[in-house]
Amino acid sequence: MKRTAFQWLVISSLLTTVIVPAQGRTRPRYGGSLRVEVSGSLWDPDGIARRLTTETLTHVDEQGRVQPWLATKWESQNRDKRWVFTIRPGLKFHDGTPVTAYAIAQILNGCAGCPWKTAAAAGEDLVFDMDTPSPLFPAQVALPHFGIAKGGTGGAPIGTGPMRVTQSTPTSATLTAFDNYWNGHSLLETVEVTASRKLRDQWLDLGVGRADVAEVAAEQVRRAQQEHLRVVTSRNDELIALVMNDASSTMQNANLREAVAASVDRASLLNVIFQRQGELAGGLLPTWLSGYAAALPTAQNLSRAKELRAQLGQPPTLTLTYDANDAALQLVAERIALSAREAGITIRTVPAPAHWDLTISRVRLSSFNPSVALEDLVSTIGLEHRTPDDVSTESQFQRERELLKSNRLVPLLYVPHGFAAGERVHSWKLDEGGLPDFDEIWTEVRR
Amino acid sequence: MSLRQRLLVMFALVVVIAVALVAWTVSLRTRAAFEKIDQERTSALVAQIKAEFQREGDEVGQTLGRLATRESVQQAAFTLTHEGDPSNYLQEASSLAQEYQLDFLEIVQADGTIISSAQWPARFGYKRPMPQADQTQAFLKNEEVPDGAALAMIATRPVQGSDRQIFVVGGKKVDRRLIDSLSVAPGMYVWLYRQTGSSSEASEIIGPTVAAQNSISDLAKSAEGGKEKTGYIQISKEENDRATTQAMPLKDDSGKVAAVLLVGASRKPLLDLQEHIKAMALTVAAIGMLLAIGVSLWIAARFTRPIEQLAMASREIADGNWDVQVEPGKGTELAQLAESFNTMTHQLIEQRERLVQTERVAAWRELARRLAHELKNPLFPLQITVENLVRAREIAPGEFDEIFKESTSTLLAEIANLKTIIGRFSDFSKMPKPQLQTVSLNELVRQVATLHAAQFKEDKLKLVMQLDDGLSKIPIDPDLIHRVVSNLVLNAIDAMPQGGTLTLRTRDTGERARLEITDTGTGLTPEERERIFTPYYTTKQHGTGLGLAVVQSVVSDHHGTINVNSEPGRGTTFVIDLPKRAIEDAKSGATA
Repeated sequence: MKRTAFQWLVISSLLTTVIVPAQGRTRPRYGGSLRVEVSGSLWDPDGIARRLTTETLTHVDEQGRVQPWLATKWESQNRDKRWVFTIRPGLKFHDGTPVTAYAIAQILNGCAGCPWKTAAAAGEDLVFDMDTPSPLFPAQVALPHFGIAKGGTGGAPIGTGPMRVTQSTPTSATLTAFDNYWNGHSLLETVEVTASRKLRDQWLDLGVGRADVAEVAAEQVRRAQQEHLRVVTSRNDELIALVMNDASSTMQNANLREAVAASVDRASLLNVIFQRQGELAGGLLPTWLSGYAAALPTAQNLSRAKELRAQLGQPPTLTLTYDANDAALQLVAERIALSAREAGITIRTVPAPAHWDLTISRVRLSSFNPSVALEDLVSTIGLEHRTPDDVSTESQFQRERELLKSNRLVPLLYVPHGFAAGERVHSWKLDEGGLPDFDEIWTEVRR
Repeated sequence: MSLRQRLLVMFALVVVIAVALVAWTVSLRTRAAFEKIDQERTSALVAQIKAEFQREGDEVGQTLGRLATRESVQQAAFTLTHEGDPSNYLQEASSLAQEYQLDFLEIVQADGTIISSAQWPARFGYKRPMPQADQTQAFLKNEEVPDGAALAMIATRPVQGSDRQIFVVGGKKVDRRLIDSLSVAPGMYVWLYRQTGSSSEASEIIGPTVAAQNSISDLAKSAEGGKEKTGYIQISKEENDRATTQAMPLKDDSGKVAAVLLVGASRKPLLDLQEHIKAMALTVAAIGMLLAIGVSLWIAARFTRPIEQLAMASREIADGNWDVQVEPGKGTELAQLAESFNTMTHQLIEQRERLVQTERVAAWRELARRLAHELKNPLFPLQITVENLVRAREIAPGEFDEIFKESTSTLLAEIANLKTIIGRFSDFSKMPKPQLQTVSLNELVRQVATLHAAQFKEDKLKLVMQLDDGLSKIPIDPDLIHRVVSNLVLNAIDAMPQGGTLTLRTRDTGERARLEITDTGTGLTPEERERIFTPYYTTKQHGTGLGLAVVQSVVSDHHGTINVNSEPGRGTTFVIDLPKRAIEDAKSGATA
């Protein structure tokens, strides 16, 4: 029987009522709010709040290529001792003032430990001068701690990022979408960041809906998954290393350093403490970045450790410090002490700050450029670093071996970091930098 | 030592010995009583501690029992024994320990491999010593922790998995909490000692802090061999504040000493009491000594003084003062003795006076007899001569003048003789009192020897001088003593007509100076010795017989004595003793 037009109209109306809402539910929506909790400090250079409010002159992508960001182009002069960056026109700071070369030079000049000698404006260009050639300077200025931002009240930055600070306290900030953001309006209208929150508390808040995003440490990923949290993890981009104090007279003994390094049982650290989340670190860069990390030894060599210990006579008890707020690092420290005890070396573990002979450090990779990442890592740990250079893999390898030869820095593991999200969060994923991808994330609007 | 001093010493000794005996006995009995009480209190406290340990162990055992039957634990056991990943349970022990309020908890494979540890999370994969299979009771153990070791009450319970067991090993710390929970009586102390490391210096003492903290360690270490020891712990700086302490080793499941329990009982009350007893004894002894002095003084006043007075009076009598009297006192035997003494002295004086009178009368009679005898000799010729004159005038008047002339010369000679006799008698009666001068007796003797030196030579006599150079000068009348020595020397010369040896000797006898004149003459018979000092007695053909009487008189006036030692054929020695110090004559007031 032929259906009437009226009947087709009814059917099509009914279908539209069903299909359109379904498609509406998967389409990103503007204007949502996100509540993020983190354990670190609020304005940590690698943190979410800083990332949303501050931008760098350039950006290094996953392939290690330098991409324009606040600067549109750059040019090397004087054999890489001078770099000239052209600032993107029409940019504004969150306070409405224009982003000019002059303004950026004001911000960057006087920076302690920066790789340039001077930063000066020349029209729309920003000129950096340095004493030694820096062939990888454009990649260096992409590091998060060279973000461009003016200082605001209470330490809150006035940057150029997609979000601006509308409210802040020492441990929390409310970020609101910057309407004049040059790279497109954020999907989220507000992001509330609460810092210095313990991981367990973050999970509880996530569970009861008081938070939308919580951190998940590498050693907690399996448990989070077991608890059915929506966990996403980054690459293995966080180095856990044993650092020996250069200023400690006890640690001047090369045999002692080598004995301690040889006694470390990385496998037990990775398999048990970090629940197989991560990889053994024989080098300072992870395999996915360097390509040669697997060639560096990682196995425990207890016999070698005992042999070296026997040559030492009666070494004193060493002090190994760890971050008191990091339960995993405490376990790592105690395990290292136990392993050293098997070799006949006594290590006592204490929470930092304290007088230390050894310490456990967690350092996150800050660049996809191997040389920049390596020298930045070495600098962060406190060892002598060099100017990153565009070198071959072989040279890079030699550089790492040179850094590891003295056993002052003993890489242990490379672990990922993760985040868990609540049900309100859609398009939940991390960006290439290992942070929530705020370009994609959106949330249900609360009614 | 005088009687008074002896009495004092005797009384004092009696008091001191009595008090010391009593104090010692009381001290001994007190000490025994205290030690008995301390022993009882210690035993009670030890029993309480053992009961507390037992209770704690039972509680731990029950807790572990409940934990072992918990569903999640049994599920974990099943998973782990079914090739499950142990790393999933890394934090399990910590969570369970927190929930069940245990200080120690480990989940362990049957072979002792640690799966999860609450007290040392990093120790996964290491092995721990497992107790005996039949060990169901809780036991003490020094559990390893990152800082060293901690004393714990541990229990073990099996948890059945799919085909084998795993174990939960857990417990609670034995620390200050347990010690503080004990009811410890005042004066009692409890410490818990244990080694915390491999070094002998690494140790922990739980309990009250004391002045000599090292003594606790030392005593505890002595008990680590497995046997109970007893010693002393100084509690505070006060010397008496010590505790008698028993150290009892506490063993773990393997028989090794895990800790040492020290239970102390303060000796302060006992020592304080002993000090108090000692002080009381000393005080009583001191009071007793004072009483002894008082009593002895009183006794001295009642008894020894009269005795001393009697002794002093006796000495005075020996010195020649017969007129001394003693205070008789009242009513005691000593008073009777004093009265008898006084009576005796009275009688002695009377007898002496009678004797003196008798001797005087006898001396006068002797003198009168001798005088009559001497006078009779010249008087008879006088009488005959006068009778001849009367007869001659009657019978032969013509021869009267011649007879008168002869008779008158005879008369004059006999009258001269009478005058001589009477003159010597007069001289004897007028002997002067000595005029004392401090003179060297030795020098005086030398002068006499020099005076008669020519005669010694003529008569072929040997002179021997033995003079004591240490003899000091003495108070004598040099003229009178010179006469005495000279008289005796002349008598000695007369006694050795055939020659011989004359010895002049002086000596210091202490109180007196002695002069001895010895000859080797014919000697004297006993009768002659008795009468030799009698006036007018002589053994010589010539002489008046007054020489030795004068000598005796002079020596007596000097308050000295003269004696003669002689035997026939053996010579004669005259011994004169003269005082070295002047003696006041009580009657005359003169000093000799």
